[in-house]
Amino acid sequence: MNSKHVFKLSSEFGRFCADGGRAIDFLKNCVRPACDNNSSEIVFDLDGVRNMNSSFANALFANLVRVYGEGVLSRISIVNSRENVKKEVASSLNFGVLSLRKAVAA
Amino acid sequence: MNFFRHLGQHEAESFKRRDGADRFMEIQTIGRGAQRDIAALSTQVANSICPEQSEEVDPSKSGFFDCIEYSVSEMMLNVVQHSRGVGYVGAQYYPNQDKTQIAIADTGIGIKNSFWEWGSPFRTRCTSDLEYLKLAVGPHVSCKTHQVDPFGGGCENAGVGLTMLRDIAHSCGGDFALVSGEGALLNDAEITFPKGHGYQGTFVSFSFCRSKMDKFGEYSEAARSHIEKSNGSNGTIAEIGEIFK
Repeated sequence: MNSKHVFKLSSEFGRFCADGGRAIDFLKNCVRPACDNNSSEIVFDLDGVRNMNSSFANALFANLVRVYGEGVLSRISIVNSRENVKKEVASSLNFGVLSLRKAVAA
Repeated sequence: MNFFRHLGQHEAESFKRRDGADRFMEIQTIGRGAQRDIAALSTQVANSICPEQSEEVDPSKSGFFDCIEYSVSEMMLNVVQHSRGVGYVGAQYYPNQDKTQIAIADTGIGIKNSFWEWGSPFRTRCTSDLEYLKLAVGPHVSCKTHQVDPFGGGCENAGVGLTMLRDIAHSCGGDFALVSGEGALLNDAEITFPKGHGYQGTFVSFSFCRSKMDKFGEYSEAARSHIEKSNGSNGTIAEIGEIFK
């Protein structure tokens, strides 16, 4: 890993991440270019994020796994997350992995 | 609640409008297609009902605020993403009953038509409005979850909003109601209205007992766990735990 991209979500979405449509745009326009560089380490800094709903979490994190596969888990890290937000993100990543595995099995 | 303003009645008021701080939020319009307003409006509802928890750092002490923000945002997103109509939200806190009640209604196409409008594969499974409502509160069912391309404009959520909300409301001693077309779910009761007496759009109402909401984290975790089990999951995959630093 010779480059690292840090995304501070509160700078983009404020203290409450709630908008799935905006999360998709962010994934497409900001995270995807970073992920397409295979040497990148992707850090999501959740400092300042007080709350996150499942629509946002699934739109950003579950779809990240859907697009890049389970291998992306070894390239991302999440820092400074409040406990409630951490659980939401973990659940959405889990959902993304399970969706992929189901699709492969089918 | 300023209800009549939304009906186009703008009569002069000879009374002093009461400050609703800590008690209620007047009915607000949910912007047409303007998802950017969802977070701000949800936070506004939570601030109206529970301003004292707005800046609380410890999530175990801000469950009430977090729950309102979370649930209102999920229901507003349904309006914006699916309804093709105008939505309205109102909230009130009843301290003597220890309850907060929130209602969101829209003038849109209703749940049944939404399944058809978005080409959901679930659309042919039901014949009545009531069956579509029961389908909609099931996990991972949404009008759009079948759209597998995340960048195609459709795959924005996992279809768990209504499922989680109903589960959380029941866990914390609250109520849940969903009405669309000629069908209604009122907690565990299933109702079919007489033909021609339904509601064309969608109405959802839910309440929470405030004294129980410090455990919002536990309730939401339990709701997520139910959903994950229904999806064939036996818990969070180990590698995911290592991502959090």
